[in-house]
Amino acid sequence: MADTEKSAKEATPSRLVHLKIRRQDAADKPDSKRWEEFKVPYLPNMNVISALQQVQKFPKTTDGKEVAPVCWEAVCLEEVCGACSMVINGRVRQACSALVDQLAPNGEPITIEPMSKFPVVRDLVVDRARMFNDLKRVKAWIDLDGTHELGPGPRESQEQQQERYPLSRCMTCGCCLEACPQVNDSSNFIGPAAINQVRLFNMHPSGAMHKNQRLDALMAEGGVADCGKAQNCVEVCPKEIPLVDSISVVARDTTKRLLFGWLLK
Amino acid sequence: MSDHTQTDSPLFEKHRRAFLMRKLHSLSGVVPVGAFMMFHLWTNAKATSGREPFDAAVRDITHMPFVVVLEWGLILLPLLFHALYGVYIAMNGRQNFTRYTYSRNWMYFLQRFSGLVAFAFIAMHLYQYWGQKVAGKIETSQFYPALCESLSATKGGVPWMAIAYVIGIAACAFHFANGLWGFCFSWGITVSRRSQRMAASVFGLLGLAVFFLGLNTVVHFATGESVTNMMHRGLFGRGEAAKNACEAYLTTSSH
Repeated sequence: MADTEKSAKEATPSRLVHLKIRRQDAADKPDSKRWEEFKVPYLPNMNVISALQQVQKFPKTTDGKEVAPVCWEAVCLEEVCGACSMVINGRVRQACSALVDQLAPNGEPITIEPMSKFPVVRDLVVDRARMFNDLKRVKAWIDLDGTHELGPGPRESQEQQQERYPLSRCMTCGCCLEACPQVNDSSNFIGPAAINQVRLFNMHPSGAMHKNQRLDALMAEGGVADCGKAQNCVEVCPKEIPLVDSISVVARDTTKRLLFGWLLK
Repeated sequence: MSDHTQTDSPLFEKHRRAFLMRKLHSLSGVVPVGAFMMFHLWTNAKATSGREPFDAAVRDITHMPFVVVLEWGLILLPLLFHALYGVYIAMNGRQNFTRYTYSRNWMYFLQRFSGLVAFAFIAMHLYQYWGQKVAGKIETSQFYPALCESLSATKGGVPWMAIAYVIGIAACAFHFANGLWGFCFSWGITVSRRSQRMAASVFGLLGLAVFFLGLNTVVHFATGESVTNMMHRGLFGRGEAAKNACEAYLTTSSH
Protein backbone atom coordinates (compact mmCIF):
# COMPACT_ATOMS: atom_id res chain seq x y z
CA MET A 1 0.00 0.00 0.00
CA ALA A 2 2.77 2.39 1.01
CA ASP A 3 4.61 1.51 -2.18
CA THR A 4 1.71 2.30 -4.45
CA GLU A 5 1.10 5.60 -2.64
CA LYS A 6 4.72 6.49 -3.04
CA SER A 7 4.82 5.61 -6.71
CA ALA A 8 1.62 7.51 -7.39
CA LYS A 9 3.05 10.54 -5.63
CA GLU A 10 6.41 10.44 -7.30
CA ALA A 11 5.47 9.46 -10.80
CA THR A 12 4.57 12.54 -12.80
CA PRO A 13 1.50 11.25 -14.58
CA SER A 14 1.09 12.41 -18.15
CA ARG A 15 -2.45 13.44 -17.39
CA LEU A 16 -4.05 15.10 -14.38
CA VAL A 17 -7.71 15.47 -13.56
CA HIS A 18 -8.61 18.96 -12.41
CA LEU A 19 -11.45 19.10 -9.87
CA LYS A 20 -13.17 22.20 -8.50
CA ILE A 21 -15.16 21.13 -5.49
CA ARG A 22 -17.73 23.07 -3.49
CA ARG A 23 -17.14 22.41 0.18
CA GLN A 24 -18.90 23.01 3.47
CA ASP A 25 -17.61 21.75 6.82
CA ALA A 26 -20.92 20.97 8.50
CA ALA A 27 -24.65 21.46 8.19
CA ASP A 28 -24.60 24.24 10.80
CA LYS A 29 -21.58 26.00 9.25
CA PRO A 30 -22.87 27.70 6.09
CA ASP A 31 -20.04 30.25 6.44
CA SER A 32 -17.54 27.53 5.61
CA LYS A 33 -18.86 27.33 2.04
CA ARG A 34 -15.92 27.57 -0.35
CA TRP A 35 -14.39 26.26 -3.55
CA GLU A 36 -11.30 24.08 -3.40
CA GLU A 37 -9.32 22.83 -6.37
CA PHE A 38 -7.51 19.53 -6.66
CA LYS A 39 -5.41 17.88 -9.32
CA VAL A 40 -5.37 14.10 -9.17
CA PRO A 41 -3.65 11.54 -11.39
CA TYR A 42 -5.74 10.23 -14.23
CA LEU A 43 -6.64 6.53 -14.26
CA PRO A 44 -8.16 4.73 -17.24
CA ASN A 45 -11.99 4.74 -17.30
CA MET A 46 -12.11 7.05 -14.31
CA ASN A 47 -15.44 8.34 -13.07
CA VAL A 48 -16.11 11.22 -10.68
CA ILE A 49 -16.24 8.82 -7.72
CA SER A 50 -12.81 7.38 -8.45
CA ALA A 51 -11.50 10.93 -8.91
CA LEU A 52 -12.90 11.78 -5.47
CA GLN A 53 -11.21 8.64 -4.11
CA GLN A 54 -7.90 10.04 -5.35
CA VAL A 55 -8.62 13.28 -3.49
CA GLN A 56 -9.31 11.21 -0.38
CA LYS A 57 -5.90 9.55 -0.75
CA PHE A 58 -4.00 12.85 -1.10
CA PRO A 59 -6.23 15.66 0.18
CA LYS A 60 -3.98 18.50 -0.95
CA THR A 61 -5.34 21.47 -2.91
CA THR A 62 -3.64 22.85 -6.00
CA ASP A 63 -2.18 25.69 -3.92
CA GLY A 64 -0.49 23.09 -1.75
CA LYS A 65 -2.74 23.27 1.31
CA GLU A 66 -3.36 20.05 3.26
CA VAL A 67 -7.12 19.87 3.86
CA ALA A 68 -9.62 17.44 5.32
CA PRO A 69 -10.64 14.86 2.70
CA VAL A 70 -13.76 15.65 0.72
CA CYS A 71 -16.89 13.83 1.93
CA TRP A 72 -19.32 12.29 -0.52
CA GLU A 73 -21.88 9.50 -0.65
CA ALA A 74 -21.83 6.56 -3.02
CA VAL A 75 -23.07 3.01 -2.70
CA CYS A 76 -23.78 0.88 -5.74
CA LEU A 77 -21.50 2.49 -8.36
CA GLU A 78 -23.85 1.30 -11.11
CA GLU A 79 -26.56 3.98 -11.13
CA VAL A 80 -29.22 2.06 -9.24
CA CYS A 81 -28.99 3.34 -5.65
CA GLY A 82 -29.38 7.09 -6.05
CA ALA A 83 -26.85 7.99 -3.35
CA CYS A 84 -24.21 9.83 -5.41
CA SER A 85 -26.37 12.58 -7.00
CA MET A 86 -24.24 15.71 -7.42
CA VAL A 87 -24.22 18.81 -9.55
CA ILE A 88 -21.37 18.13 -11.98
CA ASN A 89 -20.42 20.91 -14.40
CA GLY A 90 -23.68 22.65 -13.54
CA ARG A 91 -25.94 19.67 -14.19
CA VAL A 92 -27.34 17.26 -11.67
CA ARG A 93 -26.45 13.61 -12.28
CA GLN A 94 -25.04 10.48 -10.70
CA ALA A 95 -21.32 10.80 -9.99
CA CYS A 96 -20.78 7.09 -10.63
CA SER A 97 -21.88 7.32 -14.25
CA ALA A 98 -20.13 10.66 -14.84
CA LEU A 99 -17.00 9.58 -16.74
CA VAL A 100 -13.93 11.79 -16.68
CA ASP A 101 -13.12 10.99 -20.31
CA GLN A 102 -16.46 12.46 -21.36
CA LEU A 103 -16.47 15.39 -18.92
CA ALA A 104 -12.89 16.53 -19.48
CA PRO A 105 -11.34 14.90 -22.53
CA ASN A 106 -8.64 17.61 -22.60
CA GLY A 107 -8.14 18.06 -18.87
CA GLU A 108 -10.79 20.77 -18.44
CA PRO A 109 -11.69 21.50 -14.82
CA ILE A 110 -14.66 19.50 -13.54
CA THR A 111 -16.85 21.39 -11.07
CA ILE A 112 -18.56 19.31 -8.43
CA GLU A 113 -21.23 20.78 -6.15
CA PRO A 114 -23.71 19.25 -3.74
CA MET A 115 -27.37 19.33 -4.79
CA SER A 116 -28.81 22.73 -3.92
CA LYS A 117 -32.38 21.70 -3.09
CA PHE A 118 -31.44 19.59 -0.07
CA PRO A 119 -29.73 20.52 3.20
CA VAL A 120 -25.98 19.95 3.04
CA VAL A 121 -24.63 17.56 5.65
CA ARG A 122 -20.99 18.05 4.72
CA ASP A 123 -19.19 18.82 1.44
CA LEU A 124 -21.03 16.82 -1.23
CA VAL A 125 -23.25 14.89 1.18
CA VAL A 126 -26.85 16.07 1.34
CA ASP A 127 -29.84 14.94 3.37
CA ARG A 128 -32.61 13.59 1.11
CA ALA A 129 -34.92 12.82 4.03
CA ARG A 130 -37.69 15.03 2.63
CA MET A 131 -38.05 12.64 -0.31
CA PHE A 132 -38.63 9.70 2.01
CA ASN A 133 -41.09 11.71 4.08
CA ASP A 134 -42.89 12.58 0.85
CA LEU A 135 -43.19 8.87 0.03
CA LYS A 136 -44.94 8.46 3.37
CA ARG A 137 -47.15 11.47 2.63
CA VAL A 138 -48.43 9.90 -0.59
CA LYS A 139 -48.61 6.35 0.83
CA ALA A 140 -46.19 4.94 -1.71
CA TRP A 141 -46.84 1.35 -0.67
CA ILE A 142 -49.49 -1.32 -0.92
CA ASP A 143 -51.50 -2.16 2.19
CA LEU A 144 -51.42 -5.92 2.62
CA ASP A 145 -51.23 -6.38 6.36
CA GLY A 146 -54.33 -7.76 8.01
CA THR A 147 -55.45 -10.00 10.80
CA HIS A 148 -56.57 -12.74 8.45
CA GLU A 149 -55.69 -14.34 5.13
CA LEU A 150 -56.84 -12.05 2.31
CA GLY A 151 -56.30 -14.52 -0.51
CA PRO A 152 -54.58 -13.77 -3.78
CA GLY A 153 -54.82 -10.23 -5.11
CA PRO A 154 -56.32 -9.26 -8.45
CA ARG A 155 -54.31 -10.18 -11.54
CA GLU A 156 -52.43 -7.60 -13.52
CA SER A 157 -52.23 -7.71 -17.30
CA GLN A 158 -48.87 -8.12 -18.99
CA GLU A 159 -49.50 -4.83 -20.77
CA GLN A 160 -49.93 -2.93 -17.54
CA GLN A 161 -46.88 -4.59 -16.02
CA GLN A 162 -44.89 -3.28 -18.98
CA GLU A 163 -46.22 0.21 -18.37
CA ARG A 164 -45.64 0.10 -14.65
CA TYR A 165 -42.10 -1.31 -14.66
CA PRO A 166 -40.31 1.85 -15.85
CA LEU A 167 -42.09 3.84 -13.11
CA SER A 168 -40.77 1.45 -10.48
CA ARG A 169 -37.15 2.19 -11.43
CA CYS A 170 -37.11 5.38 -9.31
CA MET A 171 -34.18 5.31 -6.87
CA THR A 172 -35.14 8.51 -4.99
CA CYS A 173 -31.88 10.09 -6.17
CA GLY A 174 -33.33 13.62 -6.17
CA CYS A 175 -32.14 14.69 -9.65
CA CYS A 176 -35.69 15.63 -10.70
CA LEU A 177 -36.14 17.81 -7.62
CA GLU A 178 -32.77 19.48 -8.13
CA ALA A 179 -33.58 20.42 -11.73
CA CYS A 180 -37.17 21.54 -10.98
CA PRO A 181 -37.56 25.34 -10.80
CA GLN A 182 -40.70 24.85 -8.69
CA VAL A 183 -38.82 22.99 -5.94
CA ASN A 184 -37.05 25.57 -3.79
CA ASP A 185 -36.90 27.02 -0.32
CA SER A 186 -39.90 29.27 -0.84
CA SER A 187 -42.21 26.53 -2.11
CA ASN A 188 -43.25 23.18 -0.72
CA PHE A 189 -43.84 21.45 -4.03
CA ILE A 190 -43.56 17.71 -3.49
CA GLY A 191 -41.71 17.21 -6.79
CA PRO A 192 -41.92 14.70 -9.64
CA ALA A 193 -40.55 11.61 -7.83
CA ALA A 194 -43.44 11.26 -5.35
CA ILE A 195 -46.03 12.07 -8.02
CA ASN A 196 -44.61 9.26 -10.14
CA GLN A 197 -44.96 6.90 -7.17
CA VAL A 198 -48.63 7.82 -6.88
CA ARG A 199 -49.14 6.80 -10.50
CA LEU A 200 -47.18 3.58 -9.92
CA PHE A 201 -49.15 2.49 -6.89
CA ASN A 202 -52.52 3.71 -8.18
CA MET A 203 -52.03 1.52 -11.26
CA HIS A 204 -51.36 -1.55 -9.15
CA PRO A 205 -54.56 -3.62 -8.83
CA SER A 206 -54.27 -3.86 -5.02
CA GLY A 207 -52.74 -0.40 -4.64
CA ALA A 208 -55.70 1.09 -6.49
CA MET A 209 -57.85 0.31 -3.44
CA HIS A 210 -56.29 3.35 -1.76
CA LYS A 211 -56.21 5.49 -4.87
CA ASN A 212 -58.17 8.42 -3.45
CA GLN A 213 -55.98 8.72 -0.36
CA ARG A 214 -52.91 9.12 -2.55
CA LEU A 215 -54.69 11.60 -4.81
CA ASP A 216 -55.88 13.62 -1.84
CA ALA A 217 -52.31 13.86 -0.60
CA LEU A 218 -51.41 15.45 -3.94
CA MET A 219 -54.46 17.73 -3.91
CA ALA A 220 -53.11 19.66 -0.95
CA GLU A 221 -50.57 22.44 -0.65
CA GLY A 222 -47.42 21.63 -2.62
CA GLY A 223 -49.24 18.92 -4.56
CA VAL A 224 -49.42 18.11 -8.24
CA ALA A 225 -51.04 21.47 -9.11
CA ASP A 226 -47.75 23.20 -8.22
CA CYS A 227 -46.05 21.62 -11.23
CA GLY A 228 -44.73 24.46 -13.42
CA LYS A 229 -44.48 22.32 -16.57
CA ALA A 230 -40.80 23.17 -17.13
CA GLN A 231 -40.27 19.43 -17.80
CA ASN A 232 -36.63 19.44 -16.69
CA CYS A 233 -37.39 16.39 -14.52
CA VAL A 234 -37.81 13.99 -17.42
CA GLU A 235 -34.67 15.33 -19.07
CA VAL A 236 -32.39 14.80 -16.08
CA CYS A 237 -33.86 11.54 -14.73
CA PRO A 238 -30.99 9.02 -14.84
CA LYS A 239 -33.49 6.15 -14.89
CA GLU A 240 -35.37 7.59 -17.87
CA ILE A 241 -38.68 7.43 -16.04
CA PRO A 242 -41.49 9.10 -18.04
CA LEU A 243 -42.00 11.64 -15.23
CA VAL A 244 -43.95 14.13 -17.34
CA ASP A 245 -46.40 11.40 -18.35
CA SER A 246 -46.76 10.48 -14.68
CA ILE A 247 -47.49 14.07 -13.69
CA SER A 248 -50.08 14.51 -16.45
CA VAL A 249 -51.78 11.19 -15.62
CA VAL A 250 -51.98 12.14 -11.95
CA ALA A 251 -53.15 15.63 -12.96
CA ARG A 252 -55.99 14.02 -14.94
CA ASP A 253 -56.90 11.79 -11.98
CA THR A 254 -56.96 14.76 -9.61
CA THR A 255 -59.15 16.69 -12.06
CA LYS A 256 -61.59 13.79 -12.10
CA ARG A 257 -61.51 13.59 -8.32
CA LEU A 258 -62.10 17.36 -8.08
CA LEU A 259 -65.05 17.34 -10.48
CA PHE A 260 -66.70 14.04 -9.67
CA GLY A 261 -65.43 13.43 -6.13
CA TRP A 262 -65.25 16.74 -4.33
CA LEU A 263 -67.75 18.85 -6.24
CA LEU A 264 -70.48 16.29 -6.89
CA LYS A 265 -70.35 14.46 -3.58
CA MET B 1 -56.80 5.27 9.79
CA SER B 2 -57.26 8.92 10.53
CA ASP B 3 -56.78 9.77 6.85
CA HIS B 4 -60.28 8.65 5.95
CA THR B 5 -61.60 11.78 7.61
CA GLN B 6 -59.37 13.81 5.31
CA THR B 7 -60.83 12.07 2.26
CA ASP B 8 -64.34 12.96 3.30
CA SER B 9 -63.61 16.51 4.42
CA PRO B 10 -65.62 19.35 2.88
CA LEU B 11 -64.52 21.08 -0.30
CA PHE B 12 -63.38 24.35 1.20
CA GLU B 13 -61.36 22.96 4.07
CA LYS B 14 -58.01 24.62 4.65
CA HIS B 15 -55.74 21.90 3.28
CA ARG B 16 -57.62 21.98 -0.01
CA ARG B 17 -57.35 25.73 -0.48
CA ALA B 18 -53.96 25.81 -2.25
CA PHE B 19 -55.07 23.19 -4.77
CA LEU B 20 -58.36 24.97 -5.49
CA MET B 21 -56.59 28.32 -5.87
CA ARG B 22 -54.17 26.83 -8.39
CA LYS B 23 -57.01 25.27 -10.34
CA LEU B 24 -58.98 28.49 -10.23
CA HIS B 25 -55.94 30.44 -11.41
CA SER B 26 -55.48 28.09 -14.36
CA LEU B 27 -59.18 28.16 -15.23
CA SER B 28 -59.58 31.92 -14.84
CA GLY B 29 -56.81 32.48 -17.39
CA VAL B 30 -58.86 30.61 -20.01
CA VAL B 31 -62.36 31.71 -19.03
CA PRO B 32 -63.17 34.46 -18.52
CA VAL B 33 -59.84 36.33 -18.93
CA GLY B 34 -58.55 34.65 -22.10
CA ALA B 35 -61.97 34.49 -23.70
CA PHE B 36 -62.49 38.17 -22.98
CA MET B 37 -59.13 39.04 -24.54
CA MET B 38 -60.14 37.29 -27.78
CA PHE B 39 -63.48 39.11 -27.76
CA HIS B 40 -61.78 42.42 -26.96
CA LEU B 41 -59.20 42.14 -29.76
CA TRP B 42 -61.93 41.06 -32.16
CA THR B 43 -64.13 44.04 -31.26
CA ASN B 44 -61.21 46.45 -31.56
CA ALA B 45 -60.32 45.03 -34.96
CA LYS B 46 -63.58 46.60 -36.18
CA ALA B 47 -61.66 49.90 -36.08
CA THR B 48 -59.75 48.78 -39.15
CA SER B 49 -62.97 49.22 -41.14
CA GLY B 50 -63.39 52.76 -39.85
CA ARG B 51 -64.78 54.79 -36.98
CA GLU B 52 -68.46 53.98 -37.60
CA PRO B 53 -68.31 50.20 -37.00
CA PHE B 54 -65.96 50.74 -34.04
CA ASP B 55 -68.24 53.29 -32.37
CA ALA B 56 -71.25 51.07 -33.02
CA ALA B 57 -69.49 48.15 -31.29
CA VAL B 58 -68.53 50.34 -28.33
CA ARG B 59 -72.14 51.57 -28.12
CA ASP B 60 -73.47 48.01 -28.15
CA ILE B 61 -71.18 47.04 -25.30
CA THR B 62 -71.94 50.10 -23.15
CA HIS B 63 -75.67 49.43 -23.58
CA MET B 64 -75.48 45.78 -22.56
CA PRO B 65 -77.80 44.98 -19.65
CA PHE B 66 -76.00 44.71 -16.29
CA VAL B 67 -72.84 46.00 -17.92
CA VAL B 68 -71.27 46.97 -14.60
CA VAL B 69 -71.91 43.51 -13.15
CA LEU B 70 -70.43 41.93 -16.28
CA GLU B 71 -67.48 44.29 -16.23
CA TRP B 72 -66.58 43.51 -12.63
CA GLY B 73 -67.70 39.90 -12.41
CA LEU B 74 -66.43 38.62 -15.73
CA ILE B 75 -63.44 40.85 -16.42
CA LEU B 76 -61.97 42.95 -13.64
CA LEU B 77 -62.20 40.64 -10.62
CA PRO B 78 -61.09 37.46 -12.44
CA LEU B 79 -58.30 39.45 -14.10
CA LEU B 80 -57.17 40.89 -10.78
CA PHE B 81 -57.20 37.44 -9.16
CA HIS B 82 -55.32 35.90 -12.09
CA ALA B 83 -52.75 38.70 -12.08
CA LEU B 84 -52.10 38.81 -8.33
CA TYR B 85 -52.01 35.04 -7.83
CA GLY B 86 -49.84 34.85 -10.96
CA VAL B 87 -47.28 37.23 -9.47
CA TYR B 88 -47.27 35.07 -6.33
CA ILE B 89 -46.62 31.97 -8.48
CA ALA B 90 -43.91 33.70 -10.51
CA MET B 91 -42.16 34.82 -7.33
CA ASN B 92 -42.09 31.25 -5.99
CA GLY B 93 -40.16 29.81 -8.93
CA ARG B 94 -36.37 29.70 -9.19
CA GLN B 95 -35.33 30.10 -12.80
CA ASN B 96 -32.60 27.75 -14.03
CA PHE B 97 -32.86 28.03 -17.82
CA THR B 98 -29.17 28.92 -18.08
CA ARG B 99 -28.28 25.53 -16.60
CA TYR B 100 -31.06 23.41 -18.05
CA THR B 101 -31.60 24.87 -21.51
CA TYR B 102 -34.58 22.77 -22.59
CA SER B 103 -37.29 24.44 -24.63
CA ARG B 104 -40.00 23.75 -22.04
CA ASN B 105 -37.83 25.28 -19.34
CA TRP B 106 -37.56 28.41 -21.50
CA MET B 107 -41.33 28.38 -21.84
CA TYR B 108 -41.59 28.14 -18.06
CA PHE B 109 -39.51 31.32 -17.80
CA LEU B 110 -41.28 33.09 -20.67
CA GLN B 111 -44.71 32.27 -19.23
CA ARG B 112 -43.80 34.07 -16.01
CA PHE B 113 -41.96 36.89 -17.76
CA SER B 114 -44.76 37.51 -20.30
CA GLY B 115 -47.26 37.42 -17.43
CA LEU B 116 -45.45 40.23 -15.65
CA VAL B 117 -45.15 42.26 -18.88
CA ALA B 118 -48.85 41.68 -19.57
CA PHE B 119 -49.68 42.76 -16.00
CA ALA B 120 -47.84 46.08 -16.47
CA PHE B 121 -49.33 46.61 -19.92
CA ILE B 122 -52.91 45.85 -18.88
CA ALA B 123 -52.56 48.13 -15.84
CA MET B 124 -51.46 50.97 -18.12
CA HIS B 125 -54.14 50.19 -20.68
CA LEU B 126 -56.88 50.11 -18.02
CA TYR B 127 -55.67 53.41 -16.59
CA GLN B 128 -55.68 55.04 -20.03
CA TYR B 129 -59.22 54.09 -21.03
CA TRP B 130 -61.26 52.35 -18.34
CA GLY B 131 -59.84 54.54 -15.56
CA GLN B 132 -60.39 57.77 -17.53
CA LYS B 133 -63.93 56.66 -18.35
CA VAL B 134 -64.75 55.91 -14.70
CA ALA B 135 -63.20 59.23 -13.66
CA GLY B 136 -65.50 60.94 -16.17
CA LYS B 137 -62.62 62.37 -18.18
CA ILE B 138 -63.49 60.64 -21.41
CA GLU B 139 -66.72 59.52 -23.08
CA THR B 140 -66.80 56.06 -24.62
CA SER B 141 -67.76 57.72 -27.89
CA GLN B 142 -64.38 59.49 -27.85
CA PHE B 143 -62.33 56.25 -27.58
CA TYR B 144 -61.64 56.18 -31.31
CA PRO B 145 -60.01 59.63 -31.62
CA ALA B 146 -58.23 59.13 -28.30
CA LEU B 147 -56.71 55.89 -29.60
CA CYS B 148 -55.69 57.56 -32.87
CA GLU B 149 -54.00 60.37 -31.02
CA SER B 150 -52.24 58.21 -28.44
CA LEU B 151 -51.03 55.47 -30.78
CA SER B 152 -49.93 57.73 -33.63
CA ALA B 153 -48.02 60.10 -31.34
CA THR B 154 -44.27 60.05 -31.76
CA LYS B 155 -41.43 61.41 -29.68
CA GLY B 156 -38.16 61.91 -31.49
CA GLY B 157 -39.69 60.15 -34.45
CA VAL B 158 -40.39 56.99 -32.44
CA PRO B 159 -44.01 55.91 -31.81
CA TRP B 160 -43.36 54.84 -28.21
CA MET B 161 -46.97 54.17 -27.27
CA ALA B 162 -47.59 52.05 -30.36
CA ILE B 163 -44.42 50.07 -29.61
CA ALA B 164 -45.54 49.60 -25.99
CA TYR B 165 -48.89 48.30 -27.27
CA VAL B 166 -47.26 45.86 -29.71
CA ILE B 167 -44.99 44.51 -26.95
CA GLY B 168 -47.91 44.32 -24.51
CA ILE B 169 -50.13 42.52 -27.00
CA ALA B 170 -47.29 40.13 -27.91
CA ALA B 171 -46.82 39.30 -24.21
CA CYS B 172 -50.58 38.75 -23.80
CA ALA B 173 -50.81 36.56 -26.91
CA PHE B 174 -47.84 34.41 -25.85
CA HIS B 175 -49.07 34.13 -22.27
CA PHE B 176 -52.52 33.15 -23.52
CA ALA B 177 -51.29 30.54 -26.02
CA ASN B 178 -48.75 28.96 -23.68
CA GLY B 179 -51.27 29.23 -20.86
CA LEU B 180 -53.79 27.22 -22.87
CA TRP B 181 -51.11 24.59 -23.37
CA GLY B 182 -50.47 24.59 -19.62
CA PHE B 183 -54.19 24.42 -18.88
CA CYS B 184 -54.50 21.32 -21.07
CA PHE B 185 -51.58 19.75 -19.21
CA SER B 186 -52.57 20.54 -15.66
CA TRP B 187 -56.23 19.66 -16.13
CA GLY B 188 -55.23 16.33 -17.66
CA ILE B 189 -56.57 16.99 -21.17
CA THR B 190 -53.28 16.33 -22.96
CA VAL B 191 -51.72 13.40 -21.14
CA SER B 192 -49.27 11.92 -23.66
CA ARG B 193 -46.14 13.76 -24.80
CA ARG B 194 -47.41 13.45 -28.37
CA SER B 195 -50.68 15.18 -27.59
CA GLN B 196 -48.71 17.86 -25.74
CA ARG B 197 -46.59 18.50 -28.83
CA MET B 198 -49.72 18.69 -30.98
CA ALA B 199 -51.32 21.11 -28.52
CA ALA B 200 -48.15 23.24 -28.62
CA SER B 201 -48.43 23.57 -32.42
CA VAL B 202 -52.14 24.33 -32.39
CA PHE B 203 -51.91 26.90 -29.58
CA GLY B 204 -48.76 28.36 -31.16
CA LEU B 205 -50.73 29.11 -34.32
CA LEU B 206 -53.61 30.48 -32.26
CA GLY B 207 -51.21 32.74 -30.38
CA LEU B 208 -49.79 34.07 -33.65
CA ALA B 209 -53.32 34.74 -34.92
CA VAL B 210 -54.26 36.58 -31.71
CA PHE B 211 -51.07 38.63 -31.90
CA PHE B 212 -51.69 39.53 -35.54
CA LEU B 213 -55.27 40.55 -34.74
CA GLY B 214 -54.04 43.02 -32.13
CA LEU B 215 -51.04 44.17 -34.16
CA ASN B 216 -53.24 44.99 -37.13
CA THR B 217 -55.42 47.28 -35.00
CA VAL B 218 -52.45 49.03 -33.41
CA VAL B 219 -50.90 49.64 -36.83
CA HIS B 220 -54.24 51.00 -38.02
CA PHE B 221 -54.46 53.51 -35.17
CA ALA B 222 -50.79 54.42 -35.49
CA THR B 223 -50.58 54.88 -39.25
CA GLY B 224 -54.12 54.88 -40.61
CA GLU B 225 -53.14 51.81 -42.56
CA SER B 226 -53.67 48.14 -41.79
CA VAL B 227 -51.13 45.36 -42.07
CA THR B 228 -53.43 43.46 -44.39
CA ASN B 229 -53.67 46.46 -46.72
CA MET B 230 -49.92 46.95 -46.65
CA MET B 231 -49.37 43.31 -47.50
CA HIS B 232 -51.99 43.50 -50.20
CA ARG B 233 -50.23 46.46 -51.78
CA GLY B 234 -46.86 44.88 -51.32
CA LEU B 235 -48.01 41.69 -53.00
CA PHE B 236 -50.08 43.18 -55.78
CA GLY B 237 -48.30 46.52 -56.25
CA ARG B 238 -51.34 48.75 -55.72
CA GLY B 239 -49.73 52.03 -54.85
CA GLU B 240 -52.64 54.22 -53.79
CA ALA B 241 -52.83 54.52 -50.02
CA ALA B 242 -56.15 53.49 -48.55
CA LYS B 243 -58.10 56.43 -47.22
CA ASN B 244 -59.51 55.81 -43.75
CA ALA B 245 -61.26 57.43 -40.87
CA CYS B 246 -58.26 57.64 -38.59
CA GLU B 247 -56.12 59.58 -41.04
CA ALA B 248 -59.04 61.83 -41.91
CA TYR B 249 -59.70 62.57 -38.26
CA LEU B 250 -56.08 63.47 -37.60
CA THR B 251 -55.92 65.91 -40.53
CA THR B 252 -59.30 67.56 -39.82
CA SER B 253 -58.74 67.91 -36.08
CA SER B 254 -55.26 69.47 -36.32
CA HIS B 255 -56.41 72.89 -35.28
